[in-house]
Amino acid sequence: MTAYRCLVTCLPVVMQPLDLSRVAAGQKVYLYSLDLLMSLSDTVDACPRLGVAAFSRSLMKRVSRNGCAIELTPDTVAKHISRALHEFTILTLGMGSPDARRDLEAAAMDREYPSNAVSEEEDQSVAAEGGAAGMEDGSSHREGQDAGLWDHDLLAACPACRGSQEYLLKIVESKIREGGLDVGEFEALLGGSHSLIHSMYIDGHFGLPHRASGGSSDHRPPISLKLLRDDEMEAFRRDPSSLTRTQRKKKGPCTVVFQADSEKRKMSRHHDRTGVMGAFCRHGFCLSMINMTEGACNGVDSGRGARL
Amino acid sequence: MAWTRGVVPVCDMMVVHDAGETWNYGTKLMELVIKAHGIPLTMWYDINCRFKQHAIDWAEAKWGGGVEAASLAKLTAYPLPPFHVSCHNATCQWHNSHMRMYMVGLGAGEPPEIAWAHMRKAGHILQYQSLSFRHVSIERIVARWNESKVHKLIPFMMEAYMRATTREAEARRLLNAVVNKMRQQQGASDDKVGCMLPSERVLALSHDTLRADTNVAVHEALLRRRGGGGQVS
Repeated sequence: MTAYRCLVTCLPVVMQPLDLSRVAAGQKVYLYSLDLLMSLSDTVDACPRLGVAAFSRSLMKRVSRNGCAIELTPDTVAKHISRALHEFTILTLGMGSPDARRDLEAAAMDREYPSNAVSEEEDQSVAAEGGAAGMEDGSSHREGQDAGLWDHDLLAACPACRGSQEYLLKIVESKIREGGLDVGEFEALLGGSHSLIHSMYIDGHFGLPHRASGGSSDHRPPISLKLLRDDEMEAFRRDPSSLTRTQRKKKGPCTVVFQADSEKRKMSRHHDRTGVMGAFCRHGFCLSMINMTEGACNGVDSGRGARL
Repeated sequence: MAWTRGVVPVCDMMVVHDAGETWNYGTKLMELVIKAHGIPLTMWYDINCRFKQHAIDWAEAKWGGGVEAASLAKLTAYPLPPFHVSCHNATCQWHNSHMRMYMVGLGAGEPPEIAWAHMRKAGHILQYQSLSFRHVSIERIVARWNESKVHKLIPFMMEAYMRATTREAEARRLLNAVVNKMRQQQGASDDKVGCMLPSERVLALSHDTLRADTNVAVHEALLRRRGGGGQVS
């Protein structure tokens, strides 16, 4: 316990040390330590004999709901938290109202991204301009930002995809021949891109929702490398091309019963973000992500399996 | 267990359930990927049987029927992922399985589902954060995920190579067995055998296989049928 408290206070963004007496008294504690907990969870998954039972997957649930007494040895705590420190952990501890939590988070982001601590007026003016400028080049939400801690080269593209460009160009050439397409146009299209990918996988995930009671955003997100900002998605929704209506087939496979279509516009009463949707390459490298505001959302805990 | 878009497989039963994303999310992701990486050769999505036509229509509206729209229509393949394909009906599986698409390959399973299983651990905390803080947290999670994939890249590619070579050797063995059986039992000529072999994938495979196993005449017949000349180099 002592070791844990001591190390927590050493973290760069700690507003308030964890008061274990309040935890023991059963008061509610909000523990924001994503990187720490996820790295610990990975460690436990990889090394079941480590015996750190407190760092199971249910830790976040227990801590965020009721608080719990964390039983740790100083050695394991030092090892795991030093790893989390190395990976730029943001750790904020807060107790009390949602307003207090928002203040803590805003202070944490201002501290880590001082250049992005914009005023509300400036924030609103940027939001009013919308993502129209960003839509022109498609990936501008990744540009012009002080990423600081991030490895741009690593985040730009999958190393395996970058290493197989010649092979991919041969496949493109073969497919162009098969389809009887104009080679010259495709050379113009593909010539500017030196990071072709063979496959992209897209899928939605409803396990990362956001509750409306968690608070709206007072700050514009200071960084947007993979996750698209919401205002850019809203600009895309207003784009005429996104209003394209495809003629639905009345006959054929998968056209009779497809209840997902009737649920896709469903709005959650409790969640303002129902999940995320991401694109991945075939090596599992995340290319881009989007917040979803529509679709069925049953929350994190109430899994659909339980209802079945 | 992964969840399909609206269909949940439980003990060989198909249960239609309420879930779903609007198509705008898929088209927006496609736009981002196309701008950054060019036209993808293969686009895997759970509902490609219905999404494919919408993606082509959207590209025509977006780029006015330019080269992007043409390539999305003719260059890109739209298979169903190997797990989700089991949730579609039999006819749809036949038409949209990656095993019947040219130059798609064996696929890599379902990378999104693996990532979601990892990121799901953060769901409890993320839902109570403010939106901007949640945004940063997700960026961090994704960065860590990508970094972990880089570290696991070599074992992943070695496994994929082993899987591909095993499958290729098996296909070659079966192809030679079919050719020899047709010769022995039906007494067919080499030209006739070449015309009876069905698909383009057989042609790609036969270039090395049949030549190495002295079935040169069969391979030449395949090439003639395809209009590529009859000479085997």
